[in-house]
Amino acid sequence: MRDVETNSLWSHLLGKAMRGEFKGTELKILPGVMTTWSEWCLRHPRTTLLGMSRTTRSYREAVWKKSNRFVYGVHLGAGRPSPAVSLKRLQQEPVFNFESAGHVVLITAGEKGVRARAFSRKLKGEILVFSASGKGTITDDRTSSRWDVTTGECLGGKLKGTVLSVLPGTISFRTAWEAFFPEGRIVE
Amino acid sequence: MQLDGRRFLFPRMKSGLLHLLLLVGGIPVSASADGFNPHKVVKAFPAITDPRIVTVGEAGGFVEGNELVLGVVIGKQARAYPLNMLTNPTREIINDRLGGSAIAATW
Repeated sequence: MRDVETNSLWSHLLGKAMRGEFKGTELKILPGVMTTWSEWCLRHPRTTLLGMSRTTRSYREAVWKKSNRFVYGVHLGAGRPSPAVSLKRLQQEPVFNFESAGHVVLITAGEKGVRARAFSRKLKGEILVFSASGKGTITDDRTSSRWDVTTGECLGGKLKGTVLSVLPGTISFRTAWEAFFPEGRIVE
Repeated sequence: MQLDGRRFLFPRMKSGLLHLLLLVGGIPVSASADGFNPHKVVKAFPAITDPRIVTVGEAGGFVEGNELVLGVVIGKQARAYPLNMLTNPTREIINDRLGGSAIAATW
């Protein structure tokens, strides 16, 4: 992408200006989530939405059918090794704990690998390991507290009221992720 | 919006911060001296800076339940960008404002 004011060229996957006056400048990447419209409305009943015309009708959950072609990448910033997990693996293990380049990461995903979110597993200096405990909830190994898979909020137990840090992440074509993050590790 | 004391960029916005929302897919790249050699696939087109935003009621079922959306929450405000509206070479970047921040949703 380019900016109107200086015509610098930006990589949208890195969020960084690669050429031109702003070369080297990074934008802050927000933790967005990809999910279905019905699920988003359940979570956010007062949401607003983009109201432009459709250009296609292709993007429904079936788009991830060939899950080998996609990864869920955790965006730790341009130039920093950014770990990714194959979508196929997330479909098999929708609560996925791992460690990469010094970061302890939790990825939670819906059954088709969509609705994935990434969180830091570090809380107040301690590292937690999570497992699925019911619909929409996970449990940590230290205190057996219950957490919301989507928000990272502790719903009950000793840690009630605390929230895991959300990490920016995105579903990407595997080839695109490999090209932009050649140092990053993809967990198969 | 300001960056290094200068007015910024993709949107024609006058204040606030610029955030990049989220990216999916990607542009194929090949090696070059500075490691960045994007394929130019379309001509430059006007930036989308004032997109139409509607409420769930106004959408009136136009977006179907199983369509994918890119969602973001800033403060107490939530917004969804249906992927079927973000695609097409003349879209792909929506310059928007939410919760007092200037953001760009990209595809």
